[in-house]
Amino acid sequence: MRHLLFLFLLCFFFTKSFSKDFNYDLHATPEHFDSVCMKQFCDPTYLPQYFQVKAKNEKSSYQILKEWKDFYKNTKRENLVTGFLTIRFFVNCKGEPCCFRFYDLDKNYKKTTYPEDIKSQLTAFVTQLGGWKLAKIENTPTNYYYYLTFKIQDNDFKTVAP
Amino acid sequence: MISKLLLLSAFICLVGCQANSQNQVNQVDKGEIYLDSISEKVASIYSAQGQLYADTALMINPKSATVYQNRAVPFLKNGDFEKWIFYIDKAVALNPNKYTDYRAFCKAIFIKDYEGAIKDFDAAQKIKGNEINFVMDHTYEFFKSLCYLEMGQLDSAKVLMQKSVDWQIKNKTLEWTHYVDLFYMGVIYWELKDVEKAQYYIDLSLKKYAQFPDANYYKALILNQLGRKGEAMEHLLTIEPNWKKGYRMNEDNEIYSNYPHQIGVDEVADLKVVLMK
Repeated sequence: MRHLLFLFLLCFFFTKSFSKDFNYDLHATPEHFDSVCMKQFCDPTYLPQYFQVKAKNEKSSYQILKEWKDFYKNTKRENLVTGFLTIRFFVNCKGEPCCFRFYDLDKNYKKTTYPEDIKSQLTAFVTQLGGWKLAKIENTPTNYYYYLTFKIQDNDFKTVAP
Repeated sequence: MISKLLLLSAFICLVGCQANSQNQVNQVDKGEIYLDSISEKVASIYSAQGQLYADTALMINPKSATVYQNRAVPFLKNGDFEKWIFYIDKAVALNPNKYTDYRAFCKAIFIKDYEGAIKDFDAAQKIKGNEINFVMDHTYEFFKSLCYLEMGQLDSAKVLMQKSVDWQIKNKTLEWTHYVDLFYMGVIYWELKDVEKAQYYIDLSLKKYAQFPDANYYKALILNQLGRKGEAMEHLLTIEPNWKKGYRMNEDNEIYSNYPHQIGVDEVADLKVVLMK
């Protein structure tokens, strides 16, 4: 009984404290939504990951990287950029990406900050990229999560995942 | 919510007490009990509930590499690699024998961190010490070869993939040898501009899996190079219908991530234009 009570309390403690650093919610928090994007949502209450609705982009990783390199206007930088830049977003039920956010990591997977001009260009690039599948769950159109992670080495974009 | 937590607590307490009383189940095994009993049957690891269960299991046993690995998986698959590395590094630290090669695989296929993957595979090789080791259905040499292929170091890629293929032929049979290994052997030779050997290996791969879209694409490239455009087009035209029928590379993780040199709709369309000229 003591074990039971102890664990019960710990569960609550953990839910409250640990979630601050590593929250359980894989889905976006409200600040990641914007009104324009929300209007395009079929049903914002359920947001699967792209692989849960078999909606990997139709373009190959090479093609996406090639198109990005054609799109991107590089600028001279004093500090070379190296690491992983992830853009995460939703693809709504019309196949339009929206609600962008970024994870900036250095080559050791630690938080860093990438220049804003790269991020704004990346947002514009993903918006016009194409190849997004229209996903359905039981014949009902659905939105889904997607991400693209670019590996950058000395300002040069080397790979894109997934 | 409260009732669920209470039930969960009771369950884990029961499992923990039982294990203690038997005094036979070590700390790692408790992690396995968690996976078998809770994660797979009660809640998806992608759900908030599933992650809460994992965290609770880690409270009971903070030395379970299995649970840490399980906790890392959703972050790997949703592109949150900072959190993924936080958990997977703990799993590797607790059980390097089991998870060093797995982390290497994830870096190679999911993140495309090829340098990091090679470093991890080398470390795993030292730990395991066997002539050939496998992870996720393939040899370490297979994955390292893919890394070198993507880094443009074709000679290293060739040597490693050849070792993987040769080992399978020698210790099993050619029929047993994985068609994806044979496919990549062909791709490496194609990149090395050795059309004859590229064709040899792509043909072996297609013999085992005729609908393989990526192998048919490379077969079309090869035939076009040999001036046989009509036959090249025949292979190219199989790709889209086969995609629609669900034929893919058939790697378990291809649903999440593109494999090296994996083609998409644009490659097929571009080659079609070339063949129609």
